[in-house]
Amino acid sequence: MKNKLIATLVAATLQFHAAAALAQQAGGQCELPNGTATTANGSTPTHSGPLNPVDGFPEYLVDSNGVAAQRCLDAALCFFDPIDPADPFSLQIGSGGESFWWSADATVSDAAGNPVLKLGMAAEAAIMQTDAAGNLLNGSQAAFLRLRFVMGVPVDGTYTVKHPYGVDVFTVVGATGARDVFSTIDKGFAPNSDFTGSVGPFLVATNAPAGYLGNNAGGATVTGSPCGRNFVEVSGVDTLGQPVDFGGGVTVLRENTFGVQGQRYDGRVQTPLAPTRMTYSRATDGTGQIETFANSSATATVTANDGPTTPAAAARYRGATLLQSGSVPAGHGIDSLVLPVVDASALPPVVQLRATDPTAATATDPSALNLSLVDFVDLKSAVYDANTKTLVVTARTADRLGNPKLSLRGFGDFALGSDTYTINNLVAPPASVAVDSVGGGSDSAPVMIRLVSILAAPTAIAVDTTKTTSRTLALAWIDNANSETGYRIYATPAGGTQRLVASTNANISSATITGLNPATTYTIVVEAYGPSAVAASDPFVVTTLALPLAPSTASAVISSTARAIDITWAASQDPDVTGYAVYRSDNLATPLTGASNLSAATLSFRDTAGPVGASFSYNVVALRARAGVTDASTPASSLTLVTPSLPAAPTALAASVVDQTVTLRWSASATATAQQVYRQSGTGAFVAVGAPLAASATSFTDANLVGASYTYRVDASNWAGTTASSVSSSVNVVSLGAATAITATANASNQPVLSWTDNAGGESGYQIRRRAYTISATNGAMTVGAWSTLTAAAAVAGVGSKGSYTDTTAVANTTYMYELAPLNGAVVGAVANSPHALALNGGLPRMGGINTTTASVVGTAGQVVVTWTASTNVSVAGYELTRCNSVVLPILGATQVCSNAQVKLGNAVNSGGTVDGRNTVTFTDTTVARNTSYVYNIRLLGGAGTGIAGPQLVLGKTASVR
Amino acid sequence: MNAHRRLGITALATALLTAPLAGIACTVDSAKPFTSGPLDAEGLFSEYVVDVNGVALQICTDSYTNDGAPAPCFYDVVEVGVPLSERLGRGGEAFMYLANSAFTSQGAAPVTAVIVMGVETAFLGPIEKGFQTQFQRLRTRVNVDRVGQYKVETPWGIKTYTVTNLLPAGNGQNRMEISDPIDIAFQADSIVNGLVSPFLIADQAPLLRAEDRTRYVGDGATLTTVTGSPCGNNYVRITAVGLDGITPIPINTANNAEGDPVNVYTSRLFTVMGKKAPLAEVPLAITGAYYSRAAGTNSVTVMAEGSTSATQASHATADVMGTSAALDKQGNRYYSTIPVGAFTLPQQVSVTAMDPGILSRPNTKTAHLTDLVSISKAEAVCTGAGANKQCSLSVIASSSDDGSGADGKPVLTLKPFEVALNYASAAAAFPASITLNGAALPASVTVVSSKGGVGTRRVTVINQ
Repeated sequence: MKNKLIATLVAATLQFHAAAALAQQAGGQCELPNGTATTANGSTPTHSGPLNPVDGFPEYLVDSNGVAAQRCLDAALCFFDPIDPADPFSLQIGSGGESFWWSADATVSDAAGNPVLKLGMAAEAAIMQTDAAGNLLNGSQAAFLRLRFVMGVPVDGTYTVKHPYGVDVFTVVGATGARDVFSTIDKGFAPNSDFTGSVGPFLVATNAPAGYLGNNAGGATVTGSPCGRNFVEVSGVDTLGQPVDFGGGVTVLRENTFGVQGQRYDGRVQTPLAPTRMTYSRATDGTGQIETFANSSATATVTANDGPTTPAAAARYRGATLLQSGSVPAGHGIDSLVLPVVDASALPPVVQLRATDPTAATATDPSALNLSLVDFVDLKSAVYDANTKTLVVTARTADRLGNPKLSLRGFGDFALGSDTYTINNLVAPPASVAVDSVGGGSDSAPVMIRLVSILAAPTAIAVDTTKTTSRTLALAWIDNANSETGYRIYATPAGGTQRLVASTNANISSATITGLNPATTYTIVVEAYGPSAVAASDPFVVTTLALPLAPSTASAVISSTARAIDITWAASQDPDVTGYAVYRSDNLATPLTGASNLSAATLSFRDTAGPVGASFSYNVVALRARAGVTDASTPASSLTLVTPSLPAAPTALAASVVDQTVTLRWSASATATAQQVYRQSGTGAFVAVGAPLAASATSFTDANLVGASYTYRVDASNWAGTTASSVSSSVNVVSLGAATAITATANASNQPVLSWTDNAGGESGYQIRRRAYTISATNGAMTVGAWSTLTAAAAVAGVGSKGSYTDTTAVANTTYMYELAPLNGAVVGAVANSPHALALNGGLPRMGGINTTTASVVGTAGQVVVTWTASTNVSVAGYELTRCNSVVLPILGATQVCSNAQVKLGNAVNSGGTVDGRNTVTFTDTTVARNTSYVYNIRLLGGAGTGIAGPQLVLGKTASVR
Repeated sequence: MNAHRRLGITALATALLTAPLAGIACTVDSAKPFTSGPLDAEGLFSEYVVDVNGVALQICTDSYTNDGAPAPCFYDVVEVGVPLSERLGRGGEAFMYLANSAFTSQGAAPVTAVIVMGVETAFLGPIEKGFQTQFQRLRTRVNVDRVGQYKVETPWGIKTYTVTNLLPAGNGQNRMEISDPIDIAFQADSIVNGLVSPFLIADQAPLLRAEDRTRYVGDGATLTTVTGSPCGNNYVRITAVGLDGITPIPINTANNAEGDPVNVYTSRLFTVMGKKAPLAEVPLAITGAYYSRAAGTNSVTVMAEGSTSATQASHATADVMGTSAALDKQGNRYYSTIPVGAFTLPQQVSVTAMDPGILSRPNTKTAHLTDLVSISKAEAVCTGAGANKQCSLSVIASSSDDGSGADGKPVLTLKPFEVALNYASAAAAFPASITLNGAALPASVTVVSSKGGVGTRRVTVINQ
């Protein structure tokens, strides 16, 4: 519990060493009604109540008049520092650093209204310090009674202040009228104590609201002065011995009213609540828990809640109730809660504990504490080896995700990720050590001294039953030796002989024994051994587990639909069985692939790798896995089965060819259940041809083959697999399919180059033919010539490949049509002549330009007459004349570019927008509009349908129709 | 101080227009506890105080000029005719320790500071028994030229004050804008939470006579650098910024010996006085004492801590059944494991520490011997939730007494369950398992041995 009042603050103390001007001369006296002085101060004792577990101050104060006050947190009637909403402790105590059980202030002013004395009297609760973050520091509480004088006087002199608790005299030198006297008397006090300060009993305002000692508004007359002086009076004598004039000849100032605040004690203390631990643990995957422990009353209910400053995203704890044990210790309650957290990556920094006890014999107020959440640090051991002068501290933070750094207080940091810190050459170890975590947690432990050369026997031999299997035991013991070489573990089966079953190095306190027999009782002895001595533990008797129960039945059948064997079994009746494994009798040492650890719900397995032509059976065992060790039952075995052998190969395979059809014949296998023909083209891969054949089939026809060299194979198959026949002799098939995709393009020498797709197989070459066109100079009409055969082109390898031929004998400026056909020696195959390939040897040049454009208006419309110079190239069939609309006239001298929409112009003879006949030199454009400018371009055209054309003229001719 | 005693007061007070209690950077608890010695023969004041460095001081009523002025000490002189004053050789005020830092900076907005640090004895009224008090004092008073935030660093901590109004100029310290007097009374024969300890030691004390240079911590009048701050801050430093927390206030000149910025002023000069106490015992605390018994091989282990400033000559011995054994020493720690044979184990061990290198008396402490209880496992495995939560609490503890003695085996009891742990084997190892159904787990378990040892370990909770 941190809420310890540290206010051991002084009684009145002396201000002897003040450097200068003012001093206080004599102790004040409270003049009782009969005028007899009693003590230096007339204040009377005050009693403080028990510690409030929430704020760390006394629950209440009781003065000598029996007036009881509690810390007032009613903002309407009391002054106190406001709550800092970002400060968990400020939120917890309901105020800032300063609050009051009671206070009374009075201001004594001169005739002009200027304050001469501010008298402050209080029972105050203060938090004296803040932490590094600026939050109030729990543990720095100070509770005290205060009497304070702040005076500003008109002249130097000696001033007497009579107040409700006595008389004080001050000498002022160097008066300024502001804070010439600043004097405070504080008396600290602790809970459950009686004490006397410079104030008390409390002044109570005559107009105090019910439940309060005043309304803090000022201007209230009061009662309560132990000497009946419920006012304040100031007078003075100057340095000449004359009464000080406070203005207007007034030499005595008196104030009868006060500002009083205070709340009467309501008779309820806080519900007891003392947190004993608020920690968290989390694993590397982010899962974790928050661990909360507290003490309260046996009848209280304690809940854990999100801290007031906890972000909503980190909230974990909304109203969770702590488990309670009200009986230990008697009269008190222990409450705890371990709350699993699925995602502990963002833990709440503060958790609020709340205790309520509506059933308490005396009503209590709920208590709420805002507690920082820190990581759980477990200091496992601190062992000092007196032989080696080495201290080894082992500690671990439970925050495995954040992995905050640990440090051994006063020595240094643990290596990151290490749980141990070693100090060598330590002559004098500390009696205890403490480990601190950056996560806020800490733990401490006494240092154990490992004495000189002890070879003590291990003790507390124990078996981890959760890890015991049929053949293994997990042993642990307490290492009591400090000079052992290691440990040896001996096991003796009932009625048998002892044997060494395991050994460890020094400082090891656990081992796993393997190789034991199921359901066997062993006597275990763990022996610490050194170079020349041993120390054996007391015998420890333990029995290994029996083997798990086997499956009751197992069977196996050859699949009729797949090359597989299906194994099934009945489930084991052992509830601890975790799975099954399947073995085949040809290798009982290794489970079948994929069947080494089948689930407990699995009761079948398909073996697709059983040998052919073999006799075998299957074993199925039940498995029980515990702590990494698997026990297997005795096996359940299937009956023996026999699998078929591979079929014999088909024989006498022969192939014959007629045109594009090959016929196969063979002798079938007697042991096959199906057959399949495979074909190989050239050196390619064998591919299946047609559907599988019946086991009795002895022939097959392979028709519509493309020309190539072929070989064949016939495979016989049954359950066991496939056996291939010998490969047949090769047969050659020739096909003369027509070429397709014929094109003719000009090469760099303007010679026609033919290209086509080869659709023939086994051809010897290609026959190429051509014929020339004659083009009319007057109308562009084309007259075709006779075919002529050119030199044969080479054969093309592979159907689908591209063939090529260059016509090196073409005549310049001549338009040709080409066709071709595959050859098989003298046999000419199909002719590829649709479409024909057309080519112009040499191509068409660019025209020199348009000579003139004459624009005129005919009737109401416009027209433009365009003229040019006729081409003399015999390949030219006509002209293509185009017009640009809406031309923006170019800057003079610049190139006219017809980039907008073009109109192809032509006569009725050729609706395609051409001017036919190379001798034509003019064209009249009658489709123009008035008041418009146009540009005309022209180029040469080859024969209609050939697609041959010259380059476009880029320098247009402009005509403007007005 | 003259005979005209000025009755004053204070404590905890803060300046009217200031707001103290900001961050404390030299750490909150940078001041270290000190030991308050037993009452003097008059039953008035502690005979001495000893800080963690082993510096022991007593009330100083030595004045070379016999007028209560240093060197070496300041105090109120005897009030003639007052019997107690005459017996004590002092007036109302005398100090065990006092250090002052007073300075005025030279910047455009200079500050004047008076920092008083002391351990004082005084009479609150007449010099009569019943009016005496002794207390620590840390008084911070600073006169400032501008409103703003003033961080005051002392050798023991930091406080920041916000000044929102300036007071009229005056020559009294009560008119300084920052006035934070703190006095804390302390009792005799106790360990006291420190306010101004460990004590500052003057580097120079030229006014001391040669034979006194090892008898006082300063001459009380010479401004000198010091050592002793627990955090190495052997200075007073003021840092000033405006109310915005940013704008520097030029309290210093631009070119100063410290190389401080203009809003920082550092003073490393103090006056220091205090008289070393030859009556003081050297610090000593027995931090661990237990016996071990293993198959008849018995031993006593004792660990203790002494002064951090002990000299090389310091040492300690342990006395077990009349046999002394020197303890190993390392820093301020002492240790030994002492074989004691197979006879009846001793009931206690005494440790005596001494330091011939300083003025001191040997100190002897005695500790009752118990076995050492060690808890190697305290683990709760829990399932379920809420009222259905079930936890299995496993505890393994051992004793340093293996039970081979004539007085038999120790009985280890698990608290708060009051369950006796099982004695497992020849050596002392005691596993126990407790099932809690819907009941609270304790934050920690305690195992109490019938041989007096007590071990505590926090419970590791495994939530399944």
